[in-house]
Formats: sequence, C-alpha cells, structure tokens
Amino acid sequence: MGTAGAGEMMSIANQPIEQYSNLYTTQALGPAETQTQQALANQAAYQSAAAQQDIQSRLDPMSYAQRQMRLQSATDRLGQLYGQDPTAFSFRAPSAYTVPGSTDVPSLATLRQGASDIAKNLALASVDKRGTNPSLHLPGPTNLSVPTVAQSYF
Amino acid sequence: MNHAPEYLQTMRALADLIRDVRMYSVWQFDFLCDWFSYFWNRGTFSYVLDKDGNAQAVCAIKLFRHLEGFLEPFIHEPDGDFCMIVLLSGRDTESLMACNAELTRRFGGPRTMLWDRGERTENGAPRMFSWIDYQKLVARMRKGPVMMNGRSNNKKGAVNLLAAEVLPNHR
Repeated sequence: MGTAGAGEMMSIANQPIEQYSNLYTTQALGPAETQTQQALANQAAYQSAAAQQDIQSRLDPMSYAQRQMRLQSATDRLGQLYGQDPTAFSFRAPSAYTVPGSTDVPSLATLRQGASDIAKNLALASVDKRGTNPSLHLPGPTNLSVPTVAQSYF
Repeated sequence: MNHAPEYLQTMRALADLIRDVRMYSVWQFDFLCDWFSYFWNRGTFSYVLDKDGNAQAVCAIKLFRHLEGFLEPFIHEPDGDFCMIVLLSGRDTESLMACNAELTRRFGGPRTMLWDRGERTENGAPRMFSWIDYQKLVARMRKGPVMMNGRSNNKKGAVNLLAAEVLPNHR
C-alpha cells in the first residue's frame, strides 16, 4: 500500500519532467531525424524513377526513343502554342536528398549535459521501514539549461 | 472480353465508320470493341446514328493532366487541362459537330486540344491547339468546306478530322 503510494507520487511528480525531456530530445534531434527520413525517401523515389526509365530504355530502346522524341516534340509545340520556352522551366533542390550530418545536430556533449540537467529534477519517493508513510523527495533547485536545438530551415 | 449487348449492337453500326480512320482500318471487330469499351465506360465516347440506325459520326477522346499523358493509351483524368481526340470520323459536318458538342457539354473546357496526325506527323508531335483556336477551328468546320477535304483515306466519302489541316500557325 505504502509503496504503491510512493510510486504514484513519483509518477505524478516526474511526469512533466519526462515530458520536458521528450520535448527537449525532439527539439534537438527531431528536425534531423525527419530530414533524414525524407531525404532517404526522396533518394528512393529518384532511384525508382531512374530505374524505370533505365529499364524502358534497355528493354525496348527504339520504343523508348520514339516516346521521348514524341514527348519532346509535343513539349516544344506546347511551348510554341503558349509563347513559352519549355526549357526555361526547371527546378532543382539538391537539399531534398541530403541526409543531415553531425554538424546539423547538437553535439553529444550538449545533449548529455541537457539530459542530465533535466534528470537532476526528477523526484524520488520512499516509505518507512514498515513500508508505510510514503513521502516525496524533491531535488533542490536546479538551473535548467535552455535546450540547444539545431537551426530550423523554416 | 464480354460486353453489354447494346454496346456490341452500337459498335456493329459504328465499326465501318471507325475503320475509315487509317489507324483502325485493319482492326478486327472484337479488338475494336475491347479497345473502345474503355472510352465507352468513361463517357468519353460519342456517336450519332441516323433514324435508320446508320452511323453518321463517332468520336472518342482521352483527358489527362500532364502532357505526357498523350502517350498513354488508357488514361482518364477528367480534371486535366489536356484533351486528345483519339478518334473522330463522320459522314457529315453536322454529326461531327453533334459529337463535339456532346463531349464538350459532358466534360467542358477550356483545354489544350490534341490529336495525332498519323503519317503526316512531324517529329512525332501531335497536332495541338489552344482552346480558343480549337473553337475557331470548330466554327470554321461548322460553316462548311474547309477541313473536310483533308487527306482522308476513307473510301466512302466519310470525313476525318484527324487528317485535316485548317488553321495557319501550327505545325
């Protein structure tokens, strides 16, 4: 009974600290993690599209060539129709395929320091020798360092 | 492939007219039915029969969003900006105009209009018109003589827009 009460005390007292810790970790590593996943997905998409063209070109080169020629001519014609140069439009975003490097995330030292600063705020609870009278022990005032996060593109 | 009896009946009436277009001239009936059922089922197929059940005009189109769609035989993107006339063959202008009007009513505009030019194709480019120019072309067709004397390869006096050449300023 007493230990359950102590556990409940600790749970409630530490819940915001844990949430804060999660937020800190997400802020610090989330952008790089998302960017990595997206970059890998984009690389895969590019690879897949390139492979598709490669396969078409290898398996049926004449058909592929004719298709490309027709498409090129049609594109030229469309540009002519609307008074636009089709070659004037292109878009490149190499960063969409770039996996972030170690410089794009906070250093391990920073992360460790931040995490331990947060951990110092965790509360403890105890019971007496008979296993009753649960009591909560809060840590002393701690200067939380402001979490260091990577610069966001947005 | 199994088809609805009314579809087969209609196709029997239209087959000769469809075969007046060179591309389909040697297609067997079954293949014609299988091929055009795609358009029939999507409402991109229009035709005119006279009171005796004789075919007067037939038209099939495909709609797509991106230009490269014209290379795909089976594509249906009604919200796209492009419309390719896959088939247009008729005995008279009025019937052709009826097909055109029906499909325009069904799917609206404006769209960039395309059709293949068969052997007269230059560099594989389909003929292409802006909506405004296409409407001008249709208006000229409605008035009469110009387009219908294209190099149609029909043997029965049928007209074939796909072989037509009307407006200047296009390839």
